[in-house]
Amino acid sequence: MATLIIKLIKDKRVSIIIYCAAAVFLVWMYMAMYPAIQLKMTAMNDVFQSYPEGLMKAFGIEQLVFDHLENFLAMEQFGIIWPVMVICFMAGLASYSIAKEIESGTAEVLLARPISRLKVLGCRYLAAVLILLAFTLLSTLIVAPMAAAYNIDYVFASYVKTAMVGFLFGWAFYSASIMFSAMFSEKSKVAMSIGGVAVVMYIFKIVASLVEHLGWMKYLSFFYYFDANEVLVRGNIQALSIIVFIGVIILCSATTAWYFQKRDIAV
Amino acid sequence: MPAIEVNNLSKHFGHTRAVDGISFSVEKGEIFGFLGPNGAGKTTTIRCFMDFIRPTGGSITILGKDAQKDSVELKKHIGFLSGYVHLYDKWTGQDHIDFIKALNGTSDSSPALIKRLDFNPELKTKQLSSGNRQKLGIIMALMTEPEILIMDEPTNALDPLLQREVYTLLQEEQQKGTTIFMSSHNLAEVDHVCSRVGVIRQGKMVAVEKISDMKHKRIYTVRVAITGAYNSADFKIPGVENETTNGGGELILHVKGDLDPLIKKLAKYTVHEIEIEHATLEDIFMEFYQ
Repeated sequence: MATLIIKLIKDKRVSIIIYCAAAVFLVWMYMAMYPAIQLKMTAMNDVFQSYPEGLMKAFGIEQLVFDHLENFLAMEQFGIIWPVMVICFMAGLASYSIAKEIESGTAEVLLARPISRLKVLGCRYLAAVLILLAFTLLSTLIVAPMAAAYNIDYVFASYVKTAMVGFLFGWAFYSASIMFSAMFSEKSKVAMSIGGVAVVMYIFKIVASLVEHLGWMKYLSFFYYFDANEVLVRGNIQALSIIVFIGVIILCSATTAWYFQKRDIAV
Repeated sequence: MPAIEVNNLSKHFGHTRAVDGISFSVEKGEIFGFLGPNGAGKTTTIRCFMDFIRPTGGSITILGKDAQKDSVELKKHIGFLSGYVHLYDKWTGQDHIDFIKALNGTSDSSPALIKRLDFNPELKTKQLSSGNRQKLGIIMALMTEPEILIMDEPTNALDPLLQREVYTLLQEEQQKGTTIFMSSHNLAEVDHVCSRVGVIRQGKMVAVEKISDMKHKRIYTVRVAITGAYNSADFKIPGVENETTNGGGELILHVKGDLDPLIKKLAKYTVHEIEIEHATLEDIFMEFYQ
């Protein structure tokens, strides 16, 4: 079992390093920028005030006061960039785990060994979740030492909570991606499907915030359940977010296992 | 108990019947050749053996176990070579060998095979030629010293010297008691290595016979030079499938089965010259293929 987990981590080590380095670099950049932004906060607020209200809502910008690091990072990093990074990272891992093996024919190397399909899937799944956990912890908790290095005040508990909800957000996207990966035999189809799902969910969130009577659409979007303002700024974890993410994880994972077990691997 | 037993196996892809109710068995310790034209269903059958794809109907029993339900247990005893060797491009040959060693956890004869096939395991597989990829595939199939070898075109892309080495390897494996099931297009290879063959065409099994029996099939090419005119209707005899004239009164007849009715018809004429050739193995296979 360890062989299969190590294999995935080893094969994807370049991607893992790139994503982690990019996440750390972004946090470092924001930390370096934040003292200067704080000094020019009044001028910047004037600029933001001139933006249309709908636009602000669409991008989830509720408070334009950067008096706390958490407000700044909720808008700059955890509002959109971090979720997009996680979606791309997880889609890449999921498509590599199954669809690429089938597409390139190397699934035959794996399945000719005395290991069940479920074990192959389980090892790949576990490896990806471990990678996600490491990425989430690194990219969120790195804020603490960096903020300390720049003498910026921060609320550590908020980052722990963000890491927790962010991890579930990434896991839910991974579960959906691996489900597509088990169903399709081509990497590109997996990327297109999960990319499509993410874009549609983001549109739902924007439409819900702009059109009052379509407000219910927000419940169809993972971006609503991973709300950086709610978790990072206010320090709240919504029970509904946890329930939805865990529900999606269970449903998609079970579907993946069932489908991968019954499908023809090489045709 | 046969090493491999296939009963009424079928595999359909939508409306396409890739394999359509085939049955045969392979005895322990024999080398069984699986022949057929492209698209006949050879690879589909092999993929069903390996549980890569699930049969629409029928059953496959390997070493007395169900190839689908007991596939994990069975794969401890099966060495598999794909028709096109798929490898991880970023890995070296040694990485592949180590991976199999870790997952199979059984005996490892890879060092001897590497030496024998003159293979460099330190190169990344994307740098390997098709012949070297095939060598690695053969090493991966044989290194665990399996009881059953399932090979799809084992000498694909190998030069004649290496082909001969592989034949020797397979015969040595057979002497150790390994059962070998191999598909092939190379009739000389089948003639050289296999003791029995199965011929599949359009998803159906058209023959399962010993090579020696096939060679003794009563299929002949008869060339007759007749003096004077002859009535071609005289040669419309059951079993005489083909009739061609090679100019100058020479008849070429392809006969399946008994020669006697043809000889009796020829006795009515003045035969200047007659030559009766026993069909080659290739001719016999072509009979099944067409």
